[in-house]
Amino acid sequence: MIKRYALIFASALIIALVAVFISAPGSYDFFRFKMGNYDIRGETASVKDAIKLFSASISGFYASGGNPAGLNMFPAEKLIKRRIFMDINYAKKAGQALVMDRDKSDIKQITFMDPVRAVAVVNESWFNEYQDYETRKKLSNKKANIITVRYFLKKMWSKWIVVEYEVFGRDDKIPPVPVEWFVRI
Amino acid sequence: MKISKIVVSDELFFGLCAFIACYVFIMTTGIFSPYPEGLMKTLHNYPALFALLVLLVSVCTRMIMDFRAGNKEWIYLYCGFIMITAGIFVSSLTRFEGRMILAEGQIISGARSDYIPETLYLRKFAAPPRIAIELNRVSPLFKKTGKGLWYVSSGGKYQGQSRRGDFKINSLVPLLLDGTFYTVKGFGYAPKCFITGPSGDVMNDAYSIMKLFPPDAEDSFRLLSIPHTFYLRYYPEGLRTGGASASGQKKGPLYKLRIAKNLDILFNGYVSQNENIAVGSISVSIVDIKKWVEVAVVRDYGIYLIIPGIAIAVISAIWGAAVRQKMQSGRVTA
Repeated sequence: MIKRYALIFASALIIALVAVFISAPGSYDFFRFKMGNYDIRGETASVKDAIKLFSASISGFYASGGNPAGLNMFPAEKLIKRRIFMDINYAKKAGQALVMDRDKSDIKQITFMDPVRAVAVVNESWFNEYQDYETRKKLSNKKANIITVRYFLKKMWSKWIVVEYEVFGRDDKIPPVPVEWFVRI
Repeated sequence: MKISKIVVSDELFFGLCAFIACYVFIMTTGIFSPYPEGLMKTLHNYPALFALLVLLVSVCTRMIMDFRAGNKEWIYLYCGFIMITAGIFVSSLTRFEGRMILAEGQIISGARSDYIPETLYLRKFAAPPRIAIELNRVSPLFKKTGKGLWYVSSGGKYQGQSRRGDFKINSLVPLLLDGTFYTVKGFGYAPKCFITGPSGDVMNDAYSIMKLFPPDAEDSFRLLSIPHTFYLRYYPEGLRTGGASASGQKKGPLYKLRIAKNLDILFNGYVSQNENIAVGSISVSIVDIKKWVEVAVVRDYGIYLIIPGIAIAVISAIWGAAVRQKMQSGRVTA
C-alpha cells in the first residue's frame, strides 16, 4: 500500500517537473545552470571580451569625435549608446573633443546570476584630455580618472551585451546588486 | 477497470493532490525556474488548472456517489473543496495585481499608468480598481540601528466608486477597501534635485523616487537631456561613525552625491540639503526630500470563495472525524 502511494508520488513529482519545464520559459536552462552544467570558463571569457570591446569602443568613439564606425559591434544597450553620443555631440558643439585613454583594466569579479545574466566588477584607470575638435590641440591637461565600474550584462542572440553600468570612485563602498536586477530584464 | 472507478479512486485523488503540491512547491520556491512565482499565479498556470479540473470532477463524482449511498458525513468537506477549486477558477479569470509608488502629498487617479508596469498582473476579466488616492503621511517605525524597519503605516483620503473617506494602510495587515486589498510593501525616500543648465534654465525640479533606505543603499537617476548619472545615498541622521572626516565635519541630514558622465566621475562627495554643487556647465542642489511607500494592490473575486471554502473544509473535516470516531466507539460499546 505504502509502496504504491510512494510510486504515485514519485510519478506526480516527475510530471510536475516536466510541467514546470514546459510552462516556465527558460526553466530547463536554469535547471542545467543550477546543476552545474554550464560552461563557466567559456562564458567568463566571453564576458571579458565584451567588456574589453565595450571600453575600446567607447575610447574610439570619443577619440574620433563621434564616428559611428563600429557602432553595430559595440556591445551595449541603445540608451547607453545614446548617452555616449549625446556627450560627444555636446563637446563637439563647444568645439571640443574628449580623448579617453585606458591605462589599466582589471576585472575583479564576474558573477553569473543565471545562464543569461552576469555582473562584472572592473577596476579601471583612464586618462582624459580635452582637445580642440578641429586642430586637436590640447585644451586641458591629462586628468586621471580612477574608477570601479560594475557592469550588468545580458546574453542576447548568443552575445553578451552591457545593459547597464554603475561608476564608483575607487574608495566607494559598492552596494549589493539591486533586487530589481533579478526581475528587471 | 471502469472510468467511473478510476475517477473516484483514492490513487487518482492522491496523485492529483501530489502533482499540484509538487508543481506549486517547485514554482513558488523557484528552485528549478528562473524566478519564484506567487501561489495564486502558479495555480493560474494551465498544468495546475487542468489538474484542478480533473480533481473537481473526481470530488463531484465522489460526492454524488456518497450522497446516493446515504453517506452524508463528508458532504460539507466536499462542498468546501468544491468552493476552493471554483474560487481558483474564478481567480484565474478575475485576479488583478499591481504595485504603485505613492509619495507624501501625491494624488493618483488609479489608472493603469499609475502602476509599475512590471508588477501588473491582469487576468482576462480583470481591471484596475477605480479609486483615487491622496497620500498624506508615511510613518515608518525604524529599528534601533536605523538600518531596518519594524513597520510602516501611511494614510490619506480616497474616493472609490460608491464612497469616499480616510484610509490607513500598513505593512502588516492588508486593508480591504471597495473589494480590493491594499498593503504597504516597500519604503524609501524621494529627494527633489534642483538642476540648472549653463544658462540658468531649470532642467529638473521634480521629486525622484529612489531606493535610499537603509542609509547605505544607493540609487541613481538620469535626465534624458544630459548624459549625466546622479548617484545618491541618504543619511537622515548624518554619518554616525567613521565618516565625519569624509563628510568634512558636516552634520544633520547628509547626502552622498556622485555625478558621473558616462565613465567620467565629475563629483563625488557629501552634500547637505540646499548646498549648491557646480559641475561643469550644470549645478545641482537637493532642496527637499519626501517619504514614499510601495503599495501592493490585489483584487480577486475568487478569494471570496476560497477563504469560506477553506473554513468549511477544515471545520467539516474535524467535525466529520469526530462523528466517525463517536460512531465507532458506539459500535464498540454495543
